[in-house]
Amino acid sequence: MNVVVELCKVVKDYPMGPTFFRALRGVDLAVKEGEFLAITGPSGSGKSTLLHLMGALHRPSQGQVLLDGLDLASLSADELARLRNTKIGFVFQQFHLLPRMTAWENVALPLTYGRIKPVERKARAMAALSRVGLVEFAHHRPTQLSGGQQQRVAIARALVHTPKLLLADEPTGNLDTQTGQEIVDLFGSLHGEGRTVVIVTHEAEIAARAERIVILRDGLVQEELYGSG
Amino acid sequence: MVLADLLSSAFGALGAHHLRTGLSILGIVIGVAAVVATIALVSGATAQMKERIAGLGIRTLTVNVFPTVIQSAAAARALTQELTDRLATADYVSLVVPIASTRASYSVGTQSRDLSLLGVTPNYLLLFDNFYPETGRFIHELDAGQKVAVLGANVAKDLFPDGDAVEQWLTMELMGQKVAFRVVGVMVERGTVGNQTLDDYVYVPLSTLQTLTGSRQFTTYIAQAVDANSVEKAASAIEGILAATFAAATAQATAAAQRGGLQVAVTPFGTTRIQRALTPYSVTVQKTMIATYEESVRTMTLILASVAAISLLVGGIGIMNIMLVSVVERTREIGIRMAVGGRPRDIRNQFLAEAVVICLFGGLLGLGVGWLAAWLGSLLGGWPFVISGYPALLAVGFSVTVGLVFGLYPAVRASRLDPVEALRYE
Repeated sequence: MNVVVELCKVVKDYPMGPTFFRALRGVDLAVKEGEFLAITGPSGSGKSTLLHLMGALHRPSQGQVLLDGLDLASLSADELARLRNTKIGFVFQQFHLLPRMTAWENVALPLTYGRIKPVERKARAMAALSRVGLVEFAHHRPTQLSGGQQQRVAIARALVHTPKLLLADEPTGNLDTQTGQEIVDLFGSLHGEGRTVVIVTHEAEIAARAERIVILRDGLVQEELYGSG
Repeated sequence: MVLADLLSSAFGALGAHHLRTGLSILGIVIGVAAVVATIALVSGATAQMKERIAGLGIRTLTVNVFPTVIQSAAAARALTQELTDRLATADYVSLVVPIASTRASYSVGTQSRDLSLLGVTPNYLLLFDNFYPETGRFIHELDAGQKVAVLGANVAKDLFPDGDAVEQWLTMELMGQKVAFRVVGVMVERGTVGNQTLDDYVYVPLSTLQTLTGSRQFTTYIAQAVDANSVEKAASAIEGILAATFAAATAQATAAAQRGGLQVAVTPFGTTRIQRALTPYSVTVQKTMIATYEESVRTMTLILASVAAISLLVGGIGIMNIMLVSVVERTREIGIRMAVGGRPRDIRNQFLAEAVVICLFGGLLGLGVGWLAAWLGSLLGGWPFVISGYPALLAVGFSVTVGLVFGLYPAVRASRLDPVEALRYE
């Protein structure tokens, strides 16, 4: 199996006043194509930082992040953006939809940054919305949708450009248990279709749905488990 | 992101805060309106002034001759004829018309009134458009030496309020003697041309006037150049002829000037500065009057343009302020756009497009307000409302430039945000 993203001795520091905070202290991790991985651990353990590095939102301070074989440290800001635009789909805890746009326009947003014709954008956005079961809500604005629906729109947005890697940062954190369960089921079924999924969560129940669970503590991989998924 | 995406996102953002956007473009609206109104008003006033000056013709040259000694009226007539013929031979000159003026008085009962007499030849009419006898006829070649008169519209109304002046007798006191003129025509109302009111003159044959006044009146020669661009060349050609004609007189005048004294002549066309104080003639060009006027207009425009520039600067700062606020407010949006693949330059262009669209909107609004103000001004000022594409182009150009210049800093700031921090922004 191909490796989609590979991290070698990755260190990530954030500047804090005169000094810095070391969020990751030498992480080695590889995600294979088609894998369903959960990253868990207490807050401040570096889960989100790890996800941001996998998603090319940041470059590592030390070590190497190879995304589809490309070393992030050697790429410019524009090249990182291009990488996010073609290979990564993000889902966030707060949904992060643009309030002035309708559901389908939000879904089509990644396509406006790729070189895709407006007609094709709408067709692809509608296809992605139908995959998450919201095609009849295409012309609703985020405020007219429930939390679960908003997160489904966000997932459609993360799928619309058929990325290599689907990254979700606490996707159920703002949802009730029932809705959260539905969202996790959706990720499970996407994995079933062959997609590579990485979910960051602090809920053991959700992490248990993954094939593999990585537990972080204080910026280091503490333990790797193999789950039910 | 392609231009269409940029514009649709810019219009979307514009609509989100009507009041705030409206207030922030006020500076641009006022600035552009000031520029547009100024240009329209100045060009309207200029058109009117040019029309007045050019009424006599931008091609017109005024030649004044001050011969030192003329023995008799007959000699004066002979000199006029000779000079008219000579000047007519000058290169670039198409027409030479001699005129002379004097004042006379007219008594009605116990009251006496002043009249301006203008001695003319028949081709005087060639100098003006739309100036012709309303009744009767104008001065004719055969009238030379005859005591006939043609009345300007105002004079006719004043002296013959009952109408029908033609074939009436007009007795004037001229040079201390009473002279009766037969009225042969009344001119149409023509108004002011250059700085003379054609309606206020009594026109008589030039030779008659010279006979009556003797040698005491100067003759002025109105010359017309073949076209507007040849006026200067025509002036030098005329000066050449005059220099040859008055070589001896010039020497005398030089001697006189060395004894002191400066010559200034008052002609029907205003006070004439004698260009060469030591020559007994002068050539005045209408064009210089227009140039002087245009110079003052340029100065005025420059002052108003700098006022407008300051208001556009203030407007631009307003735009920068609103864009900075907008960047902060939409930090999360910037983060989202970056996360889904927006490059820094895409983010920059998005905010730049927004600033330009806001400014353009303000500029077009300003254009409308400016034209409205200019139209009202032209109604009040009574000059023509000149509308041209130039202010519109200027308004668009100005506002796009202000948008680009003052929108750049906020846009660059937006593009430099860190995507993760932008996403976390509450």
